[in-house]
Formats: sequence, C-alpha cells, structure tokens
Amino acid sequence: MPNLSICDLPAPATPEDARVSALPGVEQLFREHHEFVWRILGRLGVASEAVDDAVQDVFVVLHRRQAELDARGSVRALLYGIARRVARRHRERAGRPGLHALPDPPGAPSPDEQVARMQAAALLRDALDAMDEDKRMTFVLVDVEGMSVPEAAQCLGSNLNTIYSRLRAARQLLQRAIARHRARDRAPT
Amino acid sequence: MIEPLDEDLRACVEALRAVDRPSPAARDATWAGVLARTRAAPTARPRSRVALAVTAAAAALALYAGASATGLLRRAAAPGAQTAYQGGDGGPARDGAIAPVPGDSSTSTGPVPVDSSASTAPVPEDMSKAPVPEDRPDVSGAAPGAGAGWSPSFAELAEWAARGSGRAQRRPERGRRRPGAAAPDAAVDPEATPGQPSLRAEEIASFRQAQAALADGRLDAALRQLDEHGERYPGGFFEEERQVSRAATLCKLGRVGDARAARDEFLRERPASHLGERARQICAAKIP
Repeated sequence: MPNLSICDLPAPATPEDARVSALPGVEQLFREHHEFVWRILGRLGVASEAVDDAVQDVFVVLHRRQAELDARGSVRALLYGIARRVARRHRERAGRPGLHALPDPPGAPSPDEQVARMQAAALLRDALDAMDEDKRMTFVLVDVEGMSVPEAAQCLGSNLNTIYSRLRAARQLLQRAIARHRARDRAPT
Repeated sequence: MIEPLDEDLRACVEALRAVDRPSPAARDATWAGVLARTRAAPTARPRSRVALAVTAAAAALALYAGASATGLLRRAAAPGAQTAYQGGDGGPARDGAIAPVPGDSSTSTGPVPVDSSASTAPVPEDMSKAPVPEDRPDVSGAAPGAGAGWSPSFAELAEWAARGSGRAQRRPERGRRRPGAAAPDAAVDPEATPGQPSLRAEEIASFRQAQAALADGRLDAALRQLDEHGERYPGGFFEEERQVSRAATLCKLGRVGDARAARDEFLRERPASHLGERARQICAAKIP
C-alpha cells in the first residue's frame, strides 16, 4: 500500500476543516505560485506549447475544488499534486512523454549570456530527462525550487530518508553528466 | 543535512532557473484565461448539513402532498442530491443542476453544482475528455488604460474578462483550436482595431506559437510568426512583447543592424515600457 499524501489525494475536508484551513484566494495563489506551477509542469513533461494551458488547468481545478482541499500542509505541495495530474493528462493527450524546453522569455539578457545560459540549462535538462521521475522530481523540488526536504517528501509521498537518498543519487548522476560534457568539450577533435 | 551543490551543478541550476521563466504577457494571458473559465463554473462547496435538511424536507413535503412526481423524489434521493443547492446556506434547489466536476477526476468526491443561470457551456466529465477548452479567454474590447507602456493589472484583467464574459461562456464550437496548439487561418481580425489592445484565444495562440518557435530556436519561423501576428493584431495585447521578441530574434539571426533599428524604434515609441530594460540589452554592444 503506497503512502498517500496531500499530493496523491487532496482530501475532502469537512466544512469545519475548510474554515480552519482555508486556502488563500486563487488570485493570491496565482500571483505567488504561477512560476512554480509553470516550471513544474515543464519538468513533468508537458510540451512547451501546452504549458500555459496546463497552468490554467491547475488553477481552474484549484478554484473548483478549493472548498474541498485541505490546506493544512504546504500550498506548493497541494499545487504540485494538482499539477502532476494535469501534466499526466496533457502527456496522455499529446501522446509524447518526456521533458520539453520551456519557452524562452522574450527579451532576455545579452545574446552571449543567453546562449551560455541556454547551453547550461539544456545540459541540465537533458540530464534530468535521462533520470527516472522519482529522482528527477526530488532534485527539481529541492534543488531547483528550493523546497525543504520534508515539503518535498510531502509532495512525493515518500519518507525523509528516501528523499535524501534520491537527492544524493540525482546529484551524483547530474555531476557525472556535467563532467562527461566538460570532458567532451575539452577533448581534441 | 543537505550539502550545498558543487559549483558546476549550481551554475546549471541557476541557468535553468533563469531560462525557465514565463513572460509577464504569458502570465497575464493565463490569468485572464483562468478568470474567464472560473466565471463559468462556480467553486465546489462543501456538503452542508443545512442542505441535507432542506433536501429531506423537500422529499417529505412531496410525499405528504401525495405528489406523483417520481422524478422529484428520485432527484431528492439521488446520491449527492444535497449538492443541488447553490448559493451556500440553504438556498433554493434548482432542477437538474447537478453535473460532473470538470477537472481532476481522481480528486473528485462527488458531483458539483452548476449554476445554470451563469453558464450555458457544457461541463466535461473529465478535463482530459473536454473537447476544447470551452472557456478559454475570449475577451475583447478596449482595455482600460490602453496606450504606450500599458501593462494591465490583475484587477484590470478581471474587469476586462468580466466584460467579455458573455462571449467567454458561449457554447464551444466543436473542433475549435486550443490556444497554443496552432494558429488560426483568419487573415486579418476585423475586430482588431489599432490602438485598442484586444485579447482573444486566437491572439494568444498566435503569439504563443511565435514564442514557442523562438524557444525552440526556429528563428526564421519565429520572425515570420511575429510579423504575421503584428499584421493580424496591430496594436494588440502583446504588441510590446512582440516588438521586443522581434528585435531579439533579429539579433539571434545575426541581423544586428535590423535588430538595433527595431530595438531603437521600440525604445523611441515606448520610452516608459516595462520592457525597456530588456530591449536595451538586445544587441547591446553599441548601446550608449
């Protein structure tokens, strides 16, 4: 029997619970967490051209289920749980699993800096793509999104030791991938 | 205890954070879409004891009156019938107002009331089966405070979406394109009036497609789509983003002179734009 967390099954709360642990308004949640949801959906394999639609879906689900969601835990964990399901549905609809580059915000820094950033981001993205979802999302939630380990554990429905272990493994895999890339760059042609 | 990331990995993470960010225009468009869609479907309300009591009273009254309206009794006895009350504390029941929840079926715990007076759009059983986003932003009309450098606030977008809600709630056309999926075929939008920013699904789709091409490195396609977008929606909602994106695309294509000309024109026409700083960084080597 897998562990269930708020991410797996947002529990229907009683009216009393809802009063005690009411979520902030959807507008406030959107302001505060739009970027988080947007990035997470990309990391969960939603195609770049569909990410904005998927973000809409997440906040619409949040709005419609707001009164039933238990907000006593982390709001980001709650959003992650919704985003994961929305992402799965978008992947199924698109019929092409995998990670996708998220759209580049127009008018970024200088072109040289932008190219260097894009290369570094692409390197990390490719390495994450090659990883299993458990390790990938552990790394993304903790090291990219800055979640605490307990919060990530809540999202992923795992215990703390498992999260630490996955995080170490993910970092090692990524460090190796970066080292291989650097070695290829340095190798004479 | 988590150890800090090593230098190389940290640099990659920072690059990923810097690159993977939605643009303000995309954020605003997404919020407008959320507003339009949520106006058509009310929030699920927790089941209320008052509603249960009112349902039971209605059933008892029907029995007492000897009504032969079996349909009414069936509705009153149906699972989840208590949720047929909308408007919170003991509001009146509405016939046939129960519909499956559009959204995450795995998180659904029961039917959710649909405000029939507020929406005529069908509610899909599951978002994955929804034919097309029936309530994607489809908001038009002059925007408040339209003009150079204008960037709508959330409140303005909300007001704006509300004004266009009649269109937003119309019944979906079968096979209608999803924003971001593909550009519409229409040549020129007759409603796109210069100087009056508009926001409609086709416009969002068109701009999003150009952004996706730019992100994918399809620079020629991105430039073409940005130009087409500008012709189709002159003075449209994304005009500032479009101009900056166009200058950036030209720069990436190596057309430095054209990029700088586009950048300078943008800065001259829109000196107060919130995108000014970004624009200044495009092909910035000779910026004074």
